[in-house]
Amino acid sequence: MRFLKDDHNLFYTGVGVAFWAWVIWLIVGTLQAQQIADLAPEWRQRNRAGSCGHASTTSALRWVQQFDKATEWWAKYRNGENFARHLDRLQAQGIRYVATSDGDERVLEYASWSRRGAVVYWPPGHIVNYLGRTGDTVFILDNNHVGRLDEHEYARWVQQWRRNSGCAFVIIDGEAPPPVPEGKRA
Amino acid sequence: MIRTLLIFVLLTSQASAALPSLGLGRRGNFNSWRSAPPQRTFEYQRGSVTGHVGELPQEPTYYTVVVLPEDYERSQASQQLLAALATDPTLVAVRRATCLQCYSVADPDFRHRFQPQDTLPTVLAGKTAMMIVDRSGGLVWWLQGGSARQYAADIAAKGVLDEITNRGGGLLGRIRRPNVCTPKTCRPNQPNAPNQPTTTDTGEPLRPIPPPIADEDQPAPAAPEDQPPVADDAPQPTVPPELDLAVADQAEAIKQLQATINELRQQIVINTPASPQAPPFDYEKIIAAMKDANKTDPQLVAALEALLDKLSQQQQPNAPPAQPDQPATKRYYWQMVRIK
Repeated sequence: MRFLKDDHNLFYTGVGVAFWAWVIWLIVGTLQAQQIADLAPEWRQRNRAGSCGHASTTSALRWVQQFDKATEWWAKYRNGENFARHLDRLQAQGIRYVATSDGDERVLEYASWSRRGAVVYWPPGHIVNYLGRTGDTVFILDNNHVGRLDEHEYARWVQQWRRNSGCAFVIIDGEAPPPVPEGKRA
Repeated sequence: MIRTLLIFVLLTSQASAALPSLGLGRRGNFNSWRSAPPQRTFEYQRGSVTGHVGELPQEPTYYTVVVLPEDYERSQASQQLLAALATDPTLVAVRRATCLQCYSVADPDFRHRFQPQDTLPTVLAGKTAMMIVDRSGGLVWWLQGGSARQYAADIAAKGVLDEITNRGGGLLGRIRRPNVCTPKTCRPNQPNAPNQPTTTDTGEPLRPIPPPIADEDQPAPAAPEDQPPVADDAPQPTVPPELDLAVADQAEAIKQLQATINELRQQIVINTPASPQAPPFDYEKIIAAMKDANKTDPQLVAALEALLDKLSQQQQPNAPPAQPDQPATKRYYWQMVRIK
């Protein structure tokens, strides 16, 4: 019966470890809550006639305060877009970026950490703005309805994004505006 | 009854916990086929990240947010604050340690994100406000309704600059550009942007970020019309040679081709008109064909030209007219093409 006693102790040890891991996960999740790239409604570009990729790019450029480039982009490009041509056009416009075409999550992590946001190819046949994540929630700005933000569960959304295209890019020109102060210390 | 039930549950749980130790649980091998297939769980996957930049830009760790009233252009306090950001030593030090962002109350971003958090009554009443926040949104320092001198005195009195420095203030990542917003990036939030520093904190002149390397497939940008045309005899800028990644392979190929040329040179010597039985050899045509086939290799072309000159000098004293369309010439031609 020695092994039963050992397993009994192991069971309660496991429960304790799991409990404290859960508590730590909650605390870390709270600490890691990041502010999203919440673009002002006046600057969110609404889609026009299937130009979702260009609307998303324009919004992303406005968020990093590249207003001239955003205006130029929106005036210059129209209609649908594919990822390779999208990147070519970014390069032609002198806009620097980092991108992934095979679902590398590091691009999304960088977009969240730097609060720059990303342009993602999701859902199928559409391109939207990834604004970042807070905890387990991802925020999406859809250029078909710019008045509200869509929220999704992060893990599930990333799976769908990978299954759909796995394409995303982050514009690294300009600066993201400062975060909103969350409390007064002085 | 309840006691019996509790004992049963306890024993059952103990027995199920003991199964792996006995080799009978799901970890066992003979009944593992009966276990349910593992559910597909989210896994952290990595792919590839591409970009046409050498490194990611650094991100600010602290931000200085200056909030001005809507009529900041006519407000004396606002103009004094903007001037002090470029002249006052304390404010300049804060500006260099953080990323400066100036908002007017009418700015859409400010109205959307900042105003719901703090109503900023004094700013709305026509005064100014200044705050320092860190990357996570923590408010390090805050004062509103004061003058530029009061802001500087309060920052110095509370040791805000030391706190920022001690907490690793500055920028995350490598320093590649000034740690203040450039006027370009601060538009249109930057009313009357103060003069930006032209040197780093160590005194080195700031250099602009080099433009991205243009793709070869992209068309070259058109020259502006007001640019004067370049004269033909004007000295051309020195263009660094393009490096080929397969330098070793190319060198080896050149070496082989040089050896082949040497062999052909011997054949040409044999087939010169000095031996009347041999057919005349149209080496000019052969070398021209080789040059044409190896246009992209300037070293080989130069070697062929040197060989051509040498052969021309050898042939000139008693050179018979070349007879085209000789079978031997055809044969050698194809051999040489195949060499490449």
